[in-house]
Amino acid sequence: MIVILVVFTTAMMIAANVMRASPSAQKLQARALLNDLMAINEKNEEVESVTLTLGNFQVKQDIKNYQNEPDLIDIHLIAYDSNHQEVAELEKVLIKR
Amino acid sequence: MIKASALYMVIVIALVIGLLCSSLIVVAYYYRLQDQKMNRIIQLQTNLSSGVAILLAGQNISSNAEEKTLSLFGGDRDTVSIKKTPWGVYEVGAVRAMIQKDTLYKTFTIANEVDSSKWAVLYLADEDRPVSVSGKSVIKGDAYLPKAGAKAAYVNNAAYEGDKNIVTGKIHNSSKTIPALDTKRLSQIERLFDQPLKADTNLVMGDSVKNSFLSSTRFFDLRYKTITLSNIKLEGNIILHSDTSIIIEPSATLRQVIIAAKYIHVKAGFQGTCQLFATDSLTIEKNCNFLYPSGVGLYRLKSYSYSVPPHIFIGEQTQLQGLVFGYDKNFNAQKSPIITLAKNATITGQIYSQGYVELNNGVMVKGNLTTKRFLYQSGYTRYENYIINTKLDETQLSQYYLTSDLMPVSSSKRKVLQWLESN
Repeated sequence: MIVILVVFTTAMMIAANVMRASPSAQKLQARALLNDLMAINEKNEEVESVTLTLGNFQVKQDIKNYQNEPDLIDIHLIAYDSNHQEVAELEKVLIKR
Repeated sequence: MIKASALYMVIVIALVIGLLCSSLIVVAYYYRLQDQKMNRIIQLQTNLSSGVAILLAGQNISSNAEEKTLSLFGGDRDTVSIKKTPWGVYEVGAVRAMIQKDTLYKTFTIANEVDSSKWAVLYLADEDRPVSVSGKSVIKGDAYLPKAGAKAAYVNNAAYEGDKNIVTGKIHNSSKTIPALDTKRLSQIERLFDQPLKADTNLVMGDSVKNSFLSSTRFFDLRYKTITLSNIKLEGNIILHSDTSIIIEPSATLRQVIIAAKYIHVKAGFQGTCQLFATDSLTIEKNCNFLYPSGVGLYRLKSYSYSVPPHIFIGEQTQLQGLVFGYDKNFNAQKSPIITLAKNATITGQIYSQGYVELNNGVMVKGNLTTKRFLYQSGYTRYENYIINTKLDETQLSQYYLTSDLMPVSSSKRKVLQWLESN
């Protein structure tokens, strides 16, 4: 009985740790969201720095000129969860339209 | 009282749970590994796109074929190396994005958008005389014409049979001279005729040579030996240079390569995508097919007292998609470049002649034609500034057509013309 209890407890600890350490569905969802948002920005004529609430995430979009290049912009997207913890990040250089 | 077999059962259960746990750990490990790999690939693709954007629009990136490695945002997971190489009338870009041991790369041809404010189906220099149009000719699109305009003419017992407006589009007044070609691009083309410092001198027929644009350019310097390219496959970052003539047989397969020689002769039936530059004459026989983006240029560098005008001849039924230009560095009105388009030749793209464009029956230009003067030879009669049974139609050119910055109608906005290599 004691052996089974020890084995079960160890197994539960392993399972819990594996689950905790695995990439969460939330992270994957946030990454996909940022990719979609970046694709929309690539098509848009005008893009601006803004904070958006998309589903369960708050996305901060930061736009700045890329290294003094007049025709390039740097788009930095960060997704936060409901506890304002950063879950995903995406940064890309785009050509100004 | 516990049965003696209980210990045995406990061991079995513990083993089963142990197996389940270890498989759970293995699954989680591989899941995590795949997720990291996927994340790295997405990051690499994003960095690659950023590198492409920098190559296309960055003003601090010079076209000198030197690779530049940079950190995009100052982090350790955003290293890209970029390279821009002048490639005839176009440019070729190469971008590599690296994270740890993973590398993604792309090579592509860069070209310029057309400046719609300068674009026209026809630009004919104003030499104080009109352009005469006869037969089943069509001029569809805006045109820059001499102030004397366009008039219908009766030639070879045939009257003009086209639209009553002659030009279906806006007519603007042209200048005495045609718009100039870009000098920076011309000097890059001129360098193709210099003897390369490091080059192979032997090209074996029957071989297949392919060179990536990620590597440095492979030069073949054929010196003063006339060479016939037959049963050979040349692809990619390869430049062939000759101080005399190069003959291209239809059995040769040429993709993206550049050929620079004094005389170039393309035999009937050839098909390929390449750029040909000659200093004295360039002949393309009938039924050839040059696919987009190809370029054919005649660029006379020296003037000789005895010389005949530099001449491009494009044979019957030949189709060329891209650019054709004739340019003399020391322009002499008596020996100005001539571009001859034989019967039913079709050019999809642009023609630029510093001198004459000789048209024949059934010629079709889908795009833009810029010239100082037209020629038409009928028997022993030579007509100047006559367009006879020729179709000039800009509406048949794709809206996605990209030009070279060599051309005066190009805008400063650059785009990817063709993806060449990627992984």
